[in-house]
Amino acid sequence: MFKPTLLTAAVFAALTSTAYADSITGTVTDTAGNPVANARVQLMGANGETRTDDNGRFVLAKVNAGDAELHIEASRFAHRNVHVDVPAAGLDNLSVVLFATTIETIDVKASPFHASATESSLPVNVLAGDALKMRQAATLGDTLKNEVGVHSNFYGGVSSSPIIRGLDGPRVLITQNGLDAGDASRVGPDHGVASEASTATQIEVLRGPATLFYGSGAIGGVVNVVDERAPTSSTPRAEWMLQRESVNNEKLVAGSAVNGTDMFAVYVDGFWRDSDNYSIPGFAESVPEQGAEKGKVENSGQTAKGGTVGASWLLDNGYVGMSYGRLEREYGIPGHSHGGHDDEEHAHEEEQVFADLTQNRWQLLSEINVDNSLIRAVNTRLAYTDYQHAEIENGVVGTTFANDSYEARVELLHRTFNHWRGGLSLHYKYSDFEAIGEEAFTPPSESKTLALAWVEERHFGHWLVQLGARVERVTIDASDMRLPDIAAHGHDEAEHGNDKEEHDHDHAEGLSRVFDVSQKFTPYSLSAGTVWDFAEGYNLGVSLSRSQRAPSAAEMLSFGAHIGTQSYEVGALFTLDGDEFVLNSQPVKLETANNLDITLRKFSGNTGFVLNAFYNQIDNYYYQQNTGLFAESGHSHDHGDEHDHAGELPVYLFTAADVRLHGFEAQYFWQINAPFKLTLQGDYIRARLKQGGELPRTPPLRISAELAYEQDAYSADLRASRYFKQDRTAALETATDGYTLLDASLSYRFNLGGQLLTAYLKGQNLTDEEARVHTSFLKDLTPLPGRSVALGLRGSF
Amino acid sequence: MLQPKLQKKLSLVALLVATSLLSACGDSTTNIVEKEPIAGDDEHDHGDDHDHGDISSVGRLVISAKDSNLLSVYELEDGSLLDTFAVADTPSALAASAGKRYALVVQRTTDRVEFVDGGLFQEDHVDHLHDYQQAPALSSFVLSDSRPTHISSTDSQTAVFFDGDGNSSTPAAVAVITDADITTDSNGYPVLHYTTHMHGAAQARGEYVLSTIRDANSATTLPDQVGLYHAHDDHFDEERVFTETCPGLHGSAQNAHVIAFGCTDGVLVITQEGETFTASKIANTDDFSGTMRIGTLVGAEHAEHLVGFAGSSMFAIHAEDGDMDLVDWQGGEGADIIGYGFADKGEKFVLLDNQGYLTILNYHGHAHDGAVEAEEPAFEFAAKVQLTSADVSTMPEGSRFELAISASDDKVYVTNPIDSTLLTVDIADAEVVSSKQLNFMPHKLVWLGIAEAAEAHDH
Repeated sequence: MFKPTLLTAAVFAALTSTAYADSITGTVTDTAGNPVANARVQLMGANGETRTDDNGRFVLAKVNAGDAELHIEASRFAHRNVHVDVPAAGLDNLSVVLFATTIETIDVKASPFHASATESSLPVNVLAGDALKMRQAATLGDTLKNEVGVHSNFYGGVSSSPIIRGLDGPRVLITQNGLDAGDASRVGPDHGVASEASTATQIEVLRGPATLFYGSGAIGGVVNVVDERAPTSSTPRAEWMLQRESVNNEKLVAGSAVNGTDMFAVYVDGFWRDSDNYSIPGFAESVPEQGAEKGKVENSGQTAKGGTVGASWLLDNGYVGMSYGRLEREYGIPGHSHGGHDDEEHAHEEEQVFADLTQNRWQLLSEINVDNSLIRAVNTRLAYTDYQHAEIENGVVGTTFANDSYEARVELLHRTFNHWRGGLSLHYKYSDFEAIGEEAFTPPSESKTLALAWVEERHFGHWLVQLGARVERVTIDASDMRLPDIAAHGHDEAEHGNDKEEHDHDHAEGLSRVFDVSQKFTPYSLSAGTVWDFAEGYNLGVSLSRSQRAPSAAEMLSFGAHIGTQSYEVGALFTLDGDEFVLNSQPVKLETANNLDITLRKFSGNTGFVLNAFYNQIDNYYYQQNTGLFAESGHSHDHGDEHDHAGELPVYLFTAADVRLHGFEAQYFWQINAPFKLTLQGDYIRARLKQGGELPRTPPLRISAELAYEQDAYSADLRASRYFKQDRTAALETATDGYTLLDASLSYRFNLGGQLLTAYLKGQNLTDEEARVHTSFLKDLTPLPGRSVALGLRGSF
Repeated sequence: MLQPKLQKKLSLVALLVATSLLSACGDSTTNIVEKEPIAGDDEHDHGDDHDHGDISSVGRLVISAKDSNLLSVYELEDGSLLDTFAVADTPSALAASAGKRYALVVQRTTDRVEFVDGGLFQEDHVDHLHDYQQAPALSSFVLSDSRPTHISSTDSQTAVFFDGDGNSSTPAAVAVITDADITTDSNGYPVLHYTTHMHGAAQARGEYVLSTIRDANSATTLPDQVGLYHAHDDHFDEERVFTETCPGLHGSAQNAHVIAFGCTDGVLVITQEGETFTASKIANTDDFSGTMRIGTLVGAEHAEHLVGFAGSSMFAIHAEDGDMDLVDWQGGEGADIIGYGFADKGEKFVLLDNQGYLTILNYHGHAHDGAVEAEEPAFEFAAKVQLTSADVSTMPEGSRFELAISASDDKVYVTNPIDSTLLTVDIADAEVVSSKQLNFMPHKLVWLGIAEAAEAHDH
């Protein structure tokens, strides 16, 4: 056994309580000297926190003598850090001036640091409050698609994932309260993200050192959906919303409530949304077939419902919360055509393919402040998620995906040490993934991750330095990886005529080789960033990072038809030998990204801007390379016709190549006068292979302008977004035309029976533009919805 | 007091995790074990013949990948990839062991020779030879000494010459091993230890080895004398040093009777009669001009002639007669010889040049072949096969065509790095009979297998 003597001694030494100095009292004002009420004043690296009163005054008790750093934040003001030297007798009448800002500054919950749009060495996006309520959509990608640097991989309205700077899939980690969403959405674009925006309080997108607490695999970033399922206070409150949308007849009901006693808080939420096929201005398919009908995207309706119950035990020094949530969704999978259009008889037998998703999620969340000179807080997060979704064709379950996952993360935040703040995170994740059925393109696999991460930050005068490191051990085991004899073959359009023999593949040799695969990876990531406050109201952030990612089970082990992407997917453990797939003799390499990120911000006064430029050099980037071959989809569609071309899918092989991504994001804010605010933003990304050639589905250049009005009971906004033509395309990918979307909304707030109510009208794509999304797998099958008007009412008390 | 306990546990766990994780940052390992295949929709009717009993007579190839430590072993019966092995470093050369069971994977700059068991071999069961076919494997037998460079094999022994390193004052050495040493992971094989480094060569002759000698004060790393050494347990004792010198010695070969070394002034020939070794010199002929010299020698046990190369000139050397005749192999403009050897069981000699041609010569000079006419040239041009239509100037930097010769039939194999293909050439028909796309850029290759299949027998 381990001899704990030394450690024990260290731990007990650390537990000796420290003597406190007195307190800090002070006033927070704006530049004009007016008091700022309800500002949050926090003692950094410790657990002290208070708020200012109506006169802007605050008292922060239990402060250690010596150096102290305060973080002050208030709505509509830039966050501010103040260094003070606290004498043993305490400090009185500290005066803090906050600068008004036009930039929304909401702290990211997922970071132990203060990370907001103006403070971090890397850009963060936070969508919260009314903005979130107005933008919430049925799918996560569509909810976030107007955030700068974030696009959606729009999958016919039924599913979508955020694309962060051109990266998605396994490179973007989706978390719910900091814990893996535990779904199958990283495996295929048609698999929904098991998370709901209508009951969330905040959705945040983060990159850089903060993501190291979540996973180094998140080269693209982390999207964290935050809700109050483990309530941190028992103040009674409730929120609800009702909405009806015209384009797809979506009806949405959602609500949440918190109540409790001094010691306990209870949370419940629930939502229900139901929609039909959505309307479009033209044909669904970019090259409509004869007899196709205009106006609707078939099979794009959905029904979803879910609910969560949670309870927290409120302690003097933190809380421990438990929750259970259940999510059910049934959604059509549009664009799932099987070529039944070959002849008249089958033209109207459109198959109904839909997915039925169920997820049960248990979470334990706890934050405990520790009265200890070494460690100041212990944050614990545990989750068990039981996810399953079945893809059903003509009433028969085709494929079932199941993902059972366990996760545990413990963060130990230390007390400020030599002005450094930070902590360690110990993280364990286990996922047992299974796909059963004819579309089981990935063999069952078990993935385990054990990780240790460390993040620190410190101010040096006008410089904030943020450092992070993470090392992981990832193991992926699959006992039945299959290599079937698929008779992949080239497809010469010319001979695609009537020669039945040509396509009559003989499966007599259909022997599958079977392999027991076990893989172990030790990726590590390092990150260093700085924010330089070079002038009042400005700062410059620079971040350098190197992160490694173990390829996912799907990227390595897949071998089979994937209807969601309309392709036959083959993992990186295989390679082509002539027309035949064999085991890859090259070693599986870690994907390694070296990133440079520069951010310049102006955040005080009536105008503000955030400019980001980034360069990512990703070596061994796993992407799907079109092999030019075709394979049978494996679907047994008995059309009474052996000559079934449509059952053939293009074969894509996961291949590692070195890629270079660079681009920029720009945001400009102008508070024209009290009610009017103008926001301009744009983003651009270039993603190419080092050896030449572009990556597929890269977001196009986008600019948008939003004019917002907010005064008294009314708020309104008008937004025009221009998506430019994307003609930097990968091999066998086609260019996509540009389009302009015009959105507008109008809200009216009023009080009724002690409730604050907001009635709103929201219009999207008001010009009824036909828009095809370059980042979508279904761009030629499902355009964006046409003109839509939503009417809603939400309330809170 | 729950918290202190919790913290202590967490600290311990964190420490343990940290130590276990930090051990191998940035690593990845993959283990793949093939299991029994499962039938698809249809019955088990595979009809293949490569892994159910029949022993490959065509042999196997070991191919290394460019700038990679991976070796792929292919079954030539059906072109299937049998397995892939990772050795320590990128191989500088591949050579076959004496019995053509093992591939020597030479990693010159990192002072190591590893061995891949090709899996095809014969055992002598006293009254008969028995053929075996096994899965290829990476052998645990490894030779580690400074700068392994020239490898020469007879039918029973392999001599590995370690050049040593002048920069680190590491002396040269020669290890003489048999396939049995590799199989049993023996360390009882004899090693010849020098006191200085040299770019030398050694030829094993049973209990003896003929190996080069360099004056430690010489300005060049090339040796200029040859010694005869006799094996005693794990080392060799010097028996004699031949007085006949061989300035600028480079290249060596042997056949049943003679051992030859290339010198700037001719070819040093050592003739063995029982335990008697006699040295003589065949001087350069009038065909040699300027700085031309024999720098490469090729021999085969039953071939009466040795082949010598002086640049792109080929000479047929009859050691016993003391003749050295120029062979017109009809090399094209700028054609440099980059691969060569006796082929088709000694009936032919092939030359691979950097222009992408394989030249096939018929060889008429088998020892004890009464049909040899005095006037008939030993090597006669038969055919030239264009291996690729690709522009050879697009050859990747550091790559070239490489040749492997089957010991069991009339095939030779050429790797083409331009398009990463493996070509099979039938030298009897003088045509490329197949081209196989490799999924990596080939670097070196070697043929392994059973030269003469054992006759059928009962157990």
